[in-house]
Amino acid sequence: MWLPLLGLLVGLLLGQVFAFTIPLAYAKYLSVAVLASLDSVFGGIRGVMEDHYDSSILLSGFFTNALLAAGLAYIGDRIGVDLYYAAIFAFGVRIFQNLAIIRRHILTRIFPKKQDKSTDKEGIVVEG
Amino acid sequence: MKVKAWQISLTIALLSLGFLLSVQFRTQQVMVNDLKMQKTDDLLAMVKKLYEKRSDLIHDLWDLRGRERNFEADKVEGKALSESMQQEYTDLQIASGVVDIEGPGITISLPPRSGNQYYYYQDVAFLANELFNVNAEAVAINDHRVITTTAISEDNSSQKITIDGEPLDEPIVVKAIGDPESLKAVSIAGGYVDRLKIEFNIPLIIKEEPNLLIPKAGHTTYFNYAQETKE
Repeated sequence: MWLPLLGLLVGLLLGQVFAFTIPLAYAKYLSVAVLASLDSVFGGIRGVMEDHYDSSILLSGFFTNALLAAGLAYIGDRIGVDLYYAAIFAFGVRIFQNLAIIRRHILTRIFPKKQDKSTDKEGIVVEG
Repeated sequence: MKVKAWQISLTIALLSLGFLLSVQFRTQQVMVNDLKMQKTDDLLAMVKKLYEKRSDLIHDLWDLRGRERNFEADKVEGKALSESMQQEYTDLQIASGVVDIEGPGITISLPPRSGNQYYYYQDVAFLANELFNVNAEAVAINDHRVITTTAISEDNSSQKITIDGEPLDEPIVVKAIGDPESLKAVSIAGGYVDRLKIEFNIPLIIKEEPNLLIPKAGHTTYFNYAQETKE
């Protein structure tokens, strides 16, 4: 469980050490790519929680989503359609959904009885 | 601890995410400081603010320039005042005889008289007056500076000429500092010098001097009672 967190830290450090910046004109696409990556990672964590995690899906999703998001935003800019906002919206919604689900799984693990009770009563846990 | 497969791939994903986040942070930092990436509204606000600041600064600049000019004028005025006061002070010092002075002028030498002939104190006083008449700036009789309060008189018992109470020895030499051309007029026909020469047959000698030295007066004039009249 600590290994992925360590990976995150190392990644952050690597980014700092290489002092690497991209041209400002492309900063927008990088931000969409970061958003897509975040979405993939949260999806992966959710998969781990739900025991249907697949390494190949995560890694392929991680890179292709990031590249596609950036690429689509770029093409959108070229053809005059702000696909950038579409990407932000799509990934943003998914990130919050995944976060909500992850939170619920964590709560279930910490307080199994209480959560079990509530699930028993309502049958299914619905997040408002 | 056994490393599970999901941990490895998730670690790779998170590592990449960390790297991307790091780069994005820095890029964003650069972007925030770059004017090209600012919103139009923000830029407009900035421009407006800068215009206001600029006009304030221009206002200040004019204000300060005006003050500088005033200071400059005051300085010039003060300098002129100080110079004229200095000049006046020097003039007054010379006039009241508190300093030694030098300058071009003439000397009138009266040779010693013999027998029962002698000089009267009026001779000396008239000579001094004549010299002042021809624009002498300073006069001295045997190095006794003649100032406004100098008393030229004679001793009642010895009949000797006195200046401020001090006996005057012969030969008498009268020095006068001033414009030499103007001072030469002292020997004009009908003047007192002329009279001494012709009428009393005194062979006085008038000599032009390029540089005469006249010592300061033996006493100074103080005004303890006399005051300037108020208008």
